[in-house]
Amino acid sequence: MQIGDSCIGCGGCVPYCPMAAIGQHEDGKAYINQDECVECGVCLNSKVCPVGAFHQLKLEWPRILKAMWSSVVFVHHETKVQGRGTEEMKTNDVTNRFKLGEVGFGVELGRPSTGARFKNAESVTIALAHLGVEFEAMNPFTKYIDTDTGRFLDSWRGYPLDEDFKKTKVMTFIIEFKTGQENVLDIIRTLDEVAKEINTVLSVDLMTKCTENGEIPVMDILDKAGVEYYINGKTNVGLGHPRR
Amino acid sequence: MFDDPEKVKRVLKELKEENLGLSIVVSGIFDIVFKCCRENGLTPHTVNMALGIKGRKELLPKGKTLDVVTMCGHGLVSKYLVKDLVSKIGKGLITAEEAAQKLGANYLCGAFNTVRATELLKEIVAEGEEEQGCK
Repeated sequence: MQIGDSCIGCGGCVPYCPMAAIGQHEDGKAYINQDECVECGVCLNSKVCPVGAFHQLKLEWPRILKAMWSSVVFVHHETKVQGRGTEEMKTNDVTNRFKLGEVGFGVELGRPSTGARFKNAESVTIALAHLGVEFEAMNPFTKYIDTDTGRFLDSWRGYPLDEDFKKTKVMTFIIEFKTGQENVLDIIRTLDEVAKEINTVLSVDLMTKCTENGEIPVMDILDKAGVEYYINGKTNVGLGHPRR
Repeated sequence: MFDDPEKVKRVLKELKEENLGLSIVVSGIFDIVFKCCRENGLTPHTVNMALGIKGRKELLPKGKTLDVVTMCGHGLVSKYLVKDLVSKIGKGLITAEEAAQKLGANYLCGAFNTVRATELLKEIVAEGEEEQGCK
């Protein structure tokens, strides 16, 4: 995102940036810290600027990654749907992606409000790979990593996954994987540990298929281990027709 | 958005009767959603449970400001805009309702509960900005 010379220095745009990337020069004219900017487009889409000084230039690699991982309407090549993750449990009654005895996880780095860099996400995927999790093949982030080691590949679709790539800041990443129900506590402990090493936050979601009686099988494991969870969440009510 | 479980029950009943074959996901308190399912003869299929936030939580806005910014799951609600609007409400320059509309109007996903945001903004102003992490 860029701010043109037409800026009148009113400062009205400054609070709109979720990453606090907009500042003002001594004369009041606004500028964007391009490293902190995640190309989410809130400043432009809000139409807060009275003179229309914001404009979007064509983004090149690796800056295009910011828009890919920050815009809510970007359609990733892998998923063909808007957003940073897959449909995960939302369509599990159709896909049967998570079977009884399996547990899925969605780990979102940079959420809420902090943003994250690719190097943060690699720290998490390396730690998870040690536990032998199955990274979700359709998740766009999975395409950047060696799923055995969790480390970034050398390139993705011909683009280098180099140091410039690793330090690129985006709004959030969603890392998706599944594992056996018996590994749930190891996963949670590992996420607790790796979270201490990264300079951002991560939100953890756990997905599990209910039993035929409509019970949540993993709840007992969480309760016995004293793992806290929210009383609200998403429920797939089972009206989808299973895919043949 | 539904503010009454009975409405959710009615919607699920209609969806079940339509037999569209599409996946339907309800967000809400599990006990209530499960009850709505069972009373329609539905067995919940899969759940997504939030285990919370880990890492550098000191970077997060505090109190009800965090509640407001997390109302947009895509992270597009700026804590600095919340602070700015709370200040303007406190000075009588804007109403909480208008502020909530401003928060919700900018985000392309459109999934922003302005009624809830209005309540939270009023509470932040009433309880004091500093206590709510707005300063």
